[in-house]
Amino acid sequence: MSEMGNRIDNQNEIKYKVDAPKRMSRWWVFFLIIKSFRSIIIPLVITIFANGWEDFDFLTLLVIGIILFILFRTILAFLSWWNFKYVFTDDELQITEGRFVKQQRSISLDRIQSIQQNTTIFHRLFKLTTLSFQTAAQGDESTHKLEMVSIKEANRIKDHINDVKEKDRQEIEEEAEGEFTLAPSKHYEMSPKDIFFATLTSVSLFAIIPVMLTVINQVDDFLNLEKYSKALLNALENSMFIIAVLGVFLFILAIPIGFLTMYFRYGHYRVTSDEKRIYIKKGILNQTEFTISKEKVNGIVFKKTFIRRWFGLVEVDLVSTGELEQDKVETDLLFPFIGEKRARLLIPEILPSFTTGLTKEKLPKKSLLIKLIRPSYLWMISTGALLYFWIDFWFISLILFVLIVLLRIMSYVQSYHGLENPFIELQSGMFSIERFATKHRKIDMIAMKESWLQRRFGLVTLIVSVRSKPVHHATITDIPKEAAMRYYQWYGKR
Amino acid sequence: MTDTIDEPQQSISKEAVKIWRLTAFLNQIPLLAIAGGMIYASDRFGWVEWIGMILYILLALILLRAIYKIFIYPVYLQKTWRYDITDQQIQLKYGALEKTFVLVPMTKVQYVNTNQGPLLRRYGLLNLAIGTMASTHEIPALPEKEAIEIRTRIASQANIKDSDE
Repeated sequence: MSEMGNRIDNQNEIKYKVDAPKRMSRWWVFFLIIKSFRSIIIPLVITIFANGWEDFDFLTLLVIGIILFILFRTILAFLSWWNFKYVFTDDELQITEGRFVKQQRSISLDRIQSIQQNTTIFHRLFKLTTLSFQTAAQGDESTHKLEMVSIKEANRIKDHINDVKEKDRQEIEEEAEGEFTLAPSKHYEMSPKDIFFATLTSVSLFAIIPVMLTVINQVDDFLNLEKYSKALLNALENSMFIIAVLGVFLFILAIPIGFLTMYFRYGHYRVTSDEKRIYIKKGILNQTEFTISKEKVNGIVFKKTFIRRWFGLVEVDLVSTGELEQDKVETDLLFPFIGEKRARLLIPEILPSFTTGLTKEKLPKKSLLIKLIRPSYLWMISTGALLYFWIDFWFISLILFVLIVLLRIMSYVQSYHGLENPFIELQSGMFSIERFATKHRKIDMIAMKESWLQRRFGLVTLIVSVRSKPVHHATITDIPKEAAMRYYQWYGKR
Repeated sequence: MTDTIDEPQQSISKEAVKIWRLTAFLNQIPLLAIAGGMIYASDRFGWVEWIGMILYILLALILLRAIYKIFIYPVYLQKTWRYDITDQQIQLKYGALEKTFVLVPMTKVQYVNTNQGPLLRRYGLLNLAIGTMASTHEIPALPEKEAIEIRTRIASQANIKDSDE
């Protein structure tokens, strides 16, 4: 592909000369063909197993079918590749595409809110990557992808977009001197120790056990281990002790598996930022880089899961208007797991315009009362069903009751709210705790809901909504009406 | 600018009651029909006994809810619906058993739409939908003149494009 782009940048001028629109890398054709295989692989495997290996006629038919399929997909892929072209100008990105019907779209560069770079193993082999541009539009219109560009080209594009945005900002702010963007400073790099610790405290660890059991089962069917294990199984069934030991053994085995999964997902996790943007890079095989403009951050969420809480680990998410489509990696994640103290040190560095850890106000005693008094339909229905169908297990109803009471008490203890103009912070949760911090001008809406029961107690539920995709609503239930009115009034005034 | 933000005072059209009654009626009928149909089927085809019992209970519940939604709910909803629109913000307050208060600053408003089904049209009313990036809020059953006046006011203040539906 001829690369005829020239880039000259002085302090205040940008010239990005593009003589010809560019295509994706040639390997994209190959990639598209392989991708199309994904859709037929399962029916293919099933038909093969169903009809057996021995039927020669069937096999020939199958092979012919596969060859035709590959031929067909190759033509389509080639057409896709041939017709997909993109151009960057000073103001916009223009894309023409379409296998048979030509389509064109133009995206104004200042509409681009964030850029994500995704590199799978396949991409890396050929020094390629994928760039996704996120705009504020909804649905299909929102993301534009360049699926296979060289890394060099990707960097050039990113720089170009950033330069254009700098220039726009300069023009708007009318600054006389050129504005220097500080070199990115590295805030955080995840160590294997962090990942290990996170694996240990992860709930999904327990989920691995049934998975492994299924695997063992499958292997058993295949190799017909039953003969050998019959004796073993007999011994097992007769001893709870051995089952317990087996459980522990499986659990311990699950740890390295969990660790590896985590490592592949979060290895090389790095957070850097400069004056305007935050850069998050992660992944070993499949590398992703996420860029988000600091301006676009509307709030910070701290999540503590049940287990991790006791070890002082939190997950920090950013609520922003630059989120990408759901099928990609969690892109609103700032720190998937980090020590709480460390987070408190790093956040002011990364987002100096946010203040967290405000003085917290607890809920009054009457909130606890209302939480306990509130009838639990879950409990009532389960107890009803239990007594009717499985009356032998009546004690489960009692356990459930105690559990619900405990959860409600925890919900009471863990709810906080705080205000220090212009920052507001809400915290709530039962099993896991979630704390949301935001600023006055980032809030889109404040609402209060007051149920019949709450009215008797002078309590309400406060909802603070912040712009994001999807919308983020931070809620705190059973907060005194006076406190909620205070926030309501505070928000209404400018 | 006043020191405190007062509770919203404006109320919505009384005709809303009639319209909501009719809509609730139309909504509940199919439910009742289905429940009734299933009871009949359970009888005719001899389904297990306790299904019939549950179905009767369901029917009773649906009937109660239908009566509530048709006769009681619309009256209280209309009586308690309040809104207030100033230069600074839009306030909504609605709900009888469960009250909801909403505050949206004028600057956050992204669009204002109106919609009007055949029932509303008959009484000369419009539903006004005010949208921010985060959510949409609807003030139901406003007299046409009022609705359009409000829409123009918000549109000019919030500097947005508006559209008719």
